[in-house]
Amino acid sequence: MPEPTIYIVDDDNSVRDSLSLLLNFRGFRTREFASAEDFLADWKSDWRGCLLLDLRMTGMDGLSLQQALNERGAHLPIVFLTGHGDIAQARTALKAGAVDFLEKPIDHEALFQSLAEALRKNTELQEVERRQADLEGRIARLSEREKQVMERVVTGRHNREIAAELEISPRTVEVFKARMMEKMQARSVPELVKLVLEANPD
Amino acid sequence: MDDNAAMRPISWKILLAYCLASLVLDAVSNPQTILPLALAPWTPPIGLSLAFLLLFGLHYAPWLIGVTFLIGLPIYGLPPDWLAALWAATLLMLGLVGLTAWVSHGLRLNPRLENLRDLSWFLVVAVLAAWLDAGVHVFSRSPEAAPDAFAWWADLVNYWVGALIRVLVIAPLVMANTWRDWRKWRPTREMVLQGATIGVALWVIFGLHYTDEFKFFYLLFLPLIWIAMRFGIHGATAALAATHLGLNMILEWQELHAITVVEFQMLMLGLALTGLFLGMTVSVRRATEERLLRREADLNQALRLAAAGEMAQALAHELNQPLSALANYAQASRMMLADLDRHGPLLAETLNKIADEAGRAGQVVHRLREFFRGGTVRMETCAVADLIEEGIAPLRKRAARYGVELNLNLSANLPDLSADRVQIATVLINLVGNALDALRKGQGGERRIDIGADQSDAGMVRICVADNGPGIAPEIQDRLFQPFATSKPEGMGLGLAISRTLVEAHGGTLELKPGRPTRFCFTLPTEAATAKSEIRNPKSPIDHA
Repeated sequence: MPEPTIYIVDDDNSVRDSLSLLLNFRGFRTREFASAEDFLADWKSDWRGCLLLDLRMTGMDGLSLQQALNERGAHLPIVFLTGHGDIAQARTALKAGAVDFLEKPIDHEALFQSLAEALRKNTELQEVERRQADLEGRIARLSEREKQVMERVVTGRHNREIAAELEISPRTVEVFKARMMEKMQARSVPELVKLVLEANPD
Repeated sequence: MDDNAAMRPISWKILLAYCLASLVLDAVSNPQTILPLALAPWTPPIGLSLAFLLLFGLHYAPWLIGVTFLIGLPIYGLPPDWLAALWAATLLMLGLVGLTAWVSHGLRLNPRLENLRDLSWFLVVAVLAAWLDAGVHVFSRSPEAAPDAFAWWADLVNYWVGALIRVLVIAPLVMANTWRDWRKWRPTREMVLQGATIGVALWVIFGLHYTDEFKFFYLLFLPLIWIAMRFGIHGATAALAATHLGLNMILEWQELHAITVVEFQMLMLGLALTGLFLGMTVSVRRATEERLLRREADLNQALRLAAAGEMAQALAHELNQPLSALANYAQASRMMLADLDRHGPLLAETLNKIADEAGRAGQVVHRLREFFRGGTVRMETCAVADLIEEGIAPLRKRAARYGVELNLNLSANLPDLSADRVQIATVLINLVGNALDALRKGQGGERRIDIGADQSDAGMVRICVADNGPGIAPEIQDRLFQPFATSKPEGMGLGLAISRTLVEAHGGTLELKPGRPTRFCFTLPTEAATAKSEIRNPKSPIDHA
């Protein structure tokens, strides 16, 4: 998995170069792109870190790139940079999930804070994703019967009811349930419910 | 006059002014010269009362009657039939109140007399008020005063003429001058001279014994016209008052026959009407001129603000980039200082970059200074292609962003132009910028802007900017080049106005060609043509000072 990186997208060479230099010294890994199109062409879904994005650019502008990334399901948090603040644009950007909206010339402290927050957010997202993938893996290992039993257990049915519904003996239900609990690594029914909810946030 | 005038308290200052003015009028005029009238001293003076009611409100009416009666008492004693006198005064005042209410509320007459409509309606009111005054006074006499109907009518008309003059002289004097800003008023030598001229005219008319008094009456028109032309309605009312006062004093002193007095009064009436209308015409014209000047000043200010505002915005954006980079490099340099041995070469490189960025910021400022350079046109010989490139280069990025194609189509062998680069670039930026905005609004399809240049006729090069956008709404086409005409919600509507002014300063024209696509064309004289006509340093119409 690639290292967390700050992807700088700005069409002004000097601004890009100076930001990169500064952030490198601050200990961040950076990568520069001269346009939103360039970034989008190179982007891979496993990229980690965050995006430092100029709002106004030739061709595709910052907001359009944000939208394109959202459509592709990218989890890179975005810190916007802008020449002069426009409240409407700032609102659009923040509503679409931007971490911050900074005006040039940039206040470096604010920039470092925002970037730190963006990276933390990215790590959190990665963590959630990882955990979700793990849970999905556990569920995938369940047999058809075990899955049926789990679905009924989490909706609060008793063994006897489940047995009647699935037309098997209550004893067999108990066996399936024990095996399912073991595979899901759940020690109690409430914990199982929590895990299932985490796996399917919707 | 506002509608709740009745709610306002009575001001003793106004009553005192009325009181003093009545006393002065009583001292200088003597209506009994013409007709022996029993009631005159106890009825409110008609012109003064009308002016006060119009200016200060109807609620003064009873007070004016009271004040007049009180003044009359010590001077003339109680009238023989005091009840009839009071009745006549009340009748007169009621009539005046009715007239005042009609013109103030019905006609919305401005009692400060500020235009010809006010003056004309005031004239109607004056005629009616004079009839009222004449009626009240002539009716209230004893029957023996006029033995037959003819004598009665003659008296009525005679009195009416006198009353009308009094109204026309006194009321406008009070109405036009009460609310003036007297702090700025200073008597000048010219005013003294004008007053003296009135005196001389009166002396020529009455003082030279070998002439008939009426022969030279027209001389009185000369100072009046002079004063009215110079000082408008304010001067005219003062001159009329002075003339009227002089005439009255002379008539009394010479003890002229009533019939002569009436003839003089007719002449005086002509004088009063001439003076008032001439003075008002002059005042109105002067006010209009002042308003136009003020509006022009406002417009210049607005143009300057708009140019400055747009410039400031562009400047902020242009300066922001190098400033951002500078701040970043500087911050990084500070970090490099911590470990100079390792980062020495990098620090040197970064400092070079800092110098470059500072230079870039300096260029922006330099360009700004270029734009605001003293407000003069600096003509130089330029190739058409270069001029156009300078004008559209700043917009290429925007065009690319909107997905608009910029096509250049220049005729071969175009002659060089004599033009101010910055100003012509401004015109092109405006035209192409407008075209871009139009295309941005448009839906789908190919979006293109064609910029062409050809030699329209001898000595002129024509540059056209055409876009295939939705076109210009017919309702704003007529006033397209006027300031503040705009179809953009955030626009000031100054771009085309400024552009046309700039092109015209070069001796060219800028116009919208009819039909589609939307096409703006402007012409500029060629270098050769300019050299021939020797246009030297034409003044820029826009003052950037």
